[in-house]
Amino acid sequence: MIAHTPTQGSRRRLALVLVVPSVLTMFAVLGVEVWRLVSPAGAETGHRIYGTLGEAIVADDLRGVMDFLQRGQSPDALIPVHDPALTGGREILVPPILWAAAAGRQRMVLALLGAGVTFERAADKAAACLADQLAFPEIATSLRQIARLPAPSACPPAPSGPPLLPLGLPTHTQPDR
Amino acid sequence: MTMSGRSARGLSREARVIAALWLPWIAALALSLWRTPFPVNETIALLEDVRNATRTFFDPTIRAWYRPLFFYTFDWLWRGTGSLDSAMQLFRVIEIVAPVSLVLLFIRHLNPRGWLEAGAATVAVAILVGTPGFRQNLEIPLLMTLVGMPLLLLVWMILTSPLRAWHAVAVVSLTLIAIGYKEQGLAIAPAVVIAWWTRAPGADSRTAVGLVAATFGYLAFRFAWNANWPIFEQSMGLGFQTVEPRDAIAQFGAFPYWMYAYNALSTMLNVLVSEPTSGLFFIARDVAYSQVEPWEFVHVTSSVALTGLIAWWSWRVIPGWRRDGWTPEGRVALAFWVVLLGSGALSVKYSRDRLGGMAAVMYALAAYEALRSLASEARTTPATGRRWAVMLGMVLTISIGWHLRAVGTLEWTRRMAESNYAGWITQVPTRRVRFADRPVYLGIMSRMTPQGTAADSPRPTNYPDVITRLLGPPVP
Repeated sequence: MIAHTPTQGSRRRLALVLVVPSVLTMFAVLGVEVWRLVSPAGAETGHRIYGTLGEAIVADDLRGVMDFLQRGQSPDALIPVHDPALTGGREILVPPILWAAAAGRQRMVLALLGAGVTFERAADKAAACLADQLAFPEIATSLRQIARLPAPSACPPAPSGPPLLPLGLPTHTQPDR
Repeated sequence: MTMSGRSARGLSREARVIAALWLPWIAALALSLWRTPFPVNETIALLEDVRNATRTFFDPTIRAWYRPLFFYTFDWLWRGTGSLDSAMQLFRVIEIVAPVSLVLLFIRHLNPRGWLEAGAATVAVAILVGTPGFRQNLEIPLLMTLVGMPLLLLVWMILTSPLRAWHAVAVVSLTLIAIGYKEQGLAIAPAVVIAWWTRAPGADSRTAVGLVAATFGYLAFRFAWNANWPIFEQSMGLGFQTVEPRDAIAQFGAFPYWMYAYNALSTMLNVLVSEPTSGLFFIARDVAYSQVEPWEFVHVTSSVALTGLIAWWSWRVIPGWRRDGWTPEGRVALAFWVVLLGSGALSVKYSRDRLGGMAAVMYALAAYEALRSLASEARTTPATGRRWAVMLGMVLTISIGWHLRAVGTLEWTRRMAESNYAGWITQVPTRRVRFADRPVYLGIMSRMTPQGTAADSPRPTNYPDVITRLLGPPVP
C-alpha cells in the first residue's frame, strides 16, 4: 500500500482539473465531427426540405431557395402559392420574384435577382409596385436599382382585395418546371 | 524544468499526447477553412487592387496602411499559377497552414514533462485558440496577422534556444516578413529586446541591435510619408456607440490623442478581459439591460480569472530579477506585458479583436507558465481548506471556460462560412449595378461566384439552442 501525503493528493486533483476538461472537449469535438460527417442533415443547420420554392421563400431560407435553383428550377418558373391576406386563401401561380416581394423577403428577392430573373412578364415587372403597395420600400428600391423596374409614379392604382390575386394565374394552368 | 531550452529537447511523450488530443480540433478547423467561401465584400476589391496596381505594393504613399507582402502573395500566386482559381486555393493553404503551424509550434515549444505540466499545456492550447485575437484572425482572406503570429512564436523559440550563428539573420528576416504582411509584426521587436535584456540564451546583442535598427529603419520609412495618413481611417467604437471616421474627425480631430489612447486601451483590454470588442462595451451593455448571453459570461469570467492568475504570477516572478537575475518565467511575463503594450500602440487608429493577435500568443505562453506556477503551489497546499478551494475554483473556471471558447472558435469559422455564403447570394446583384464601370471587378466577381455559392460550404452545427448560446459569439 502506498501512502499519499495531502500535497500529493492536491497535485493529482489539480492535474485532473486541468486535463479532464481537455479530454472531454476533444471527445465531444470528435463526436460532433463524426456526426457531421455521417449525418449532415441532422448535424448541420440549413438542411430543411421544402415542397416548393414558394415555401422556402416564405421561410426566408437562403439555402432552401438555392437548393431549388441549383437543382435546375428556373427563377422565372411560376410557383403555386396561397396566403389568407395576399391571395385570399386561394391557390394561384405567380412568379417567384413577385411572391418574394409580396412576402417582404428582401434576401430572397436578391437571391432570385442573382439567379437571373428575366422580368419578361407583366406580373414580374409588377413586383416593385407591389412592394410599394405592401410597404416594403427597401425591396422596391432594390428591384428598381437592379432590375430597372418602373418608378412609383408609373405604378397603377392598387386594386381592392387580396393584392396578389389580379397578378396570378389559376392553378389549373400547368406550372412551369 | 523551466521553459528555457524546452524547444531544444526532444519532443516529450506528453507533448505527443497533447498533439494527438488536439488533432480532431485541428483537423476540423482545417476542413472548415478549406471549404469556407472567400467573402464577396473583402476579396474582390482586394484582388482588383492586385490586378490594377501590380507595381505599387511597396509604394508607401498610396495607402495609410502598408502590407506589401500580403498583396504580393496574391499577385505572386496569381501570376505564378496563371489561374485565379488555383491562386485562391493556394492562398487558402496559407490560411490553413498559419493557424495549424501556430498550434503545433506552441505544443512543441511548451514540450511538457509530467502530467501536471501536460495539463497546463493543454489548457494553454485552448487559451491560444480561444482568444478573440486568434479567432478574428481566421477571417478569410485577412491573414495578415495570422502569418505574424506563428512567426512571433518561432522568433521566441529561437531566442530561448541555445545561441547559433544564424539566429540574428533568422530573427530579423522573420520579423521583416511579419511586418511586411502587417504592421502588427512590429510587436515582435519588443519581444526580441526583452529576450536580449533578460539574457535569453539565443538572443545576443547582434540580434537585438540588428532588429532595433531594422525596426527604426522601417518606422523612419513609414513616417516619412505620414502626411498622407488620415487622422482616423476606420469606424471606431466609443463606449456603446460606433463613430464613423468623418464624425470622429469633426469631434476629436483637433486633439485625437485621447481617442488614440482609448483605441489602444480597448485592444489591450480585449486581450485581457474579452471586453470591449472593437472599442464597444457590448457585454457591459448587456449586463446593464439584464440580457447577458451565456457565452458572454463564459468569455468574461474565463478571461478575468486567467488575467488575474497571470497578474499574480507576474507579480511574483518579475520583481525577483534584481535579486536572482532573470528567470525564464520572468522573461515570459515581461515579454507578454511589453508585447501587449506594443499591440495596443499599434492599434491607436482603431481597435479590433484581431489587432490583439500578436499579444494573444504571448498571453497563452504566460498562461502556461502561470498555471505551472500555480501547480507548484499545490506542492505545498494540502487538498483542503479555503486556499485550496480558491485555487481549484480558479483552475476550473479557466479550464472549462477556455475549452468552451476553443470549441466556440471552431463553430465561429462555420458561422463565418455561412455568412460569406449568404453574402455572395444577396450582394452580387447589387454589386453588378454599383460597379458596372469596373470590368476587372465584375470579371473577378463572376469567376468567384461558384465558390461563393457552393452548396457544400460549411454550415453551423445543429446544436441545441443552449449550447449555441454558450459557444457564441455571433459573426459580426
